[in-house]
Amino acid sequence: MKPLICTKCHERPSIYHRAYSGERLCSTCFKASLRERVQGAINRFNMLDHWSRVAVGVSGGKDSLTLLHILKRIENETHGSEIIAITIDEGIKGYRDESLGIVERSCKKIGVEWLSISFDDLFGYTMDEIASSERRLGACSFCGVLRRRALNEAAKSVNADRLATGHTLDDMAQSALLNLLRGDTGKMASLHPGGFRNPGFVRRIKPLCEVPEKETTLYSFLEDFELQSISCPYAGEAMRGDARAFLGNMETRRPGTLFTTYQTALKLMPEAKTAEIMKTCRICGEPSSGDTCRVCQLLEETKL
Amino acid sequence: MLVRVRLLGSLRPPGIPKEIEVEIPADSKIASLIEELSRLYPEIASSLINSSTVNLIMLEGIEVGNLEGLDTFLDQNATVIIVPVTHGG
Repeated sequence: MKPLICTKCHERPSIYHRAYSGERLCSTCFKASLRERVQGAINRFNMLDHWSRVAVGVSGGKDSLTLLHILKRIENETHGSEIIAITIDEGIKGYRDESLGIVERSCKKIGVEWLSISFDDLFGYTMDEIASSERRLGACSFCGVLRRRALNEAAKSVNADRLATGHTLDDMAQSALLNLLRGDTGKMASLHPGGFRNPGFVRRIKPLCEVPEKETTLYSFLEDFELQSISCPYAGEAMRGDARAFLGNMETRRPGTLFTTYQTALKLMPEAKTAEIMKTCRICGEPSSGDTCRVCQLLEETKL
Repeated sequence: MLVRVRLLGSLRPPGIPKEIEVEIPADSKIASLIEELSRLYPEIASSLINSSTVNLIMLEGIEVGNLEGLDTFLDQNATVIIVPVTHGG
């Protein structure tokens, strides 16, 4: 069966059908359209200034590698910002060892400076130690909170003024749905793809916010990125998994559901969010909304 | 007929070569190939057949969603590459 001609260049045979838009794209036009989508989000949400120093959180997965690759290319061609890759080594034997190698080789290939910081260095424990400790919460709850802190610390240590993460359209839609299901509309504002200026925090931006995960996968395949073969042994956030399954089904049956969910979340966000009034954690001295920050609360809870 | 298959990333079971050859009846569709792969490698069956997750299935370099999806017919010696969508960020 012969594929239809690309609806963008009208020359080359298409390789991909975007069900949500009806486009049929060749490899060249698909990759170009993804870069345009990212550039569009950067502009619309004022994510970067000229000469920003951007720390890119790179786990070694397809999303963050796509982000790094596209940002490096966009920045070379336009803003002239500096890119530095940062990886958090949670200390998960096998899984993280493999991805550290992937990130190191990928950064070397495209000429990006790379820094790796470990949970062990920052908090004194590896994720494997935390996971094997007596605890009330799931491993992902710990990992998520500690990783956010670690990324911020790593970004500060390289004097970055932006911290770019590989959250995709799927992540955004899932988080929006989870916030609604939990009745946590206040958290909707934290989904803002352009982030906020808050003292003590490097401004977080999500340039892939309008790129479906399926398309980061295709981009990774077309660019011949190394793919991780080992899954995280602690993966399995029940509620996010349910949201992912529901939205995945809906997207297959009703293409465009992810975009609609994401756009609804944007409409529900407050027009502008002022910096929260932050206290200082009595234990670590980092910014905190309460007397003790979430990181210190969790580390106390592990009883290690 | 024989079809060549490459399972990428976390879909590739340990100890399985980079490229495998799968025997399926003539005039089979992609759906039959997926079923056969799930039978041959039960350890990845749940990742291959999952209504909420659509893996990228590339037939001769074209994503099958751009053809007839799971109903796309396969030819003898066709090359199929399956890439997991939901593994890792």
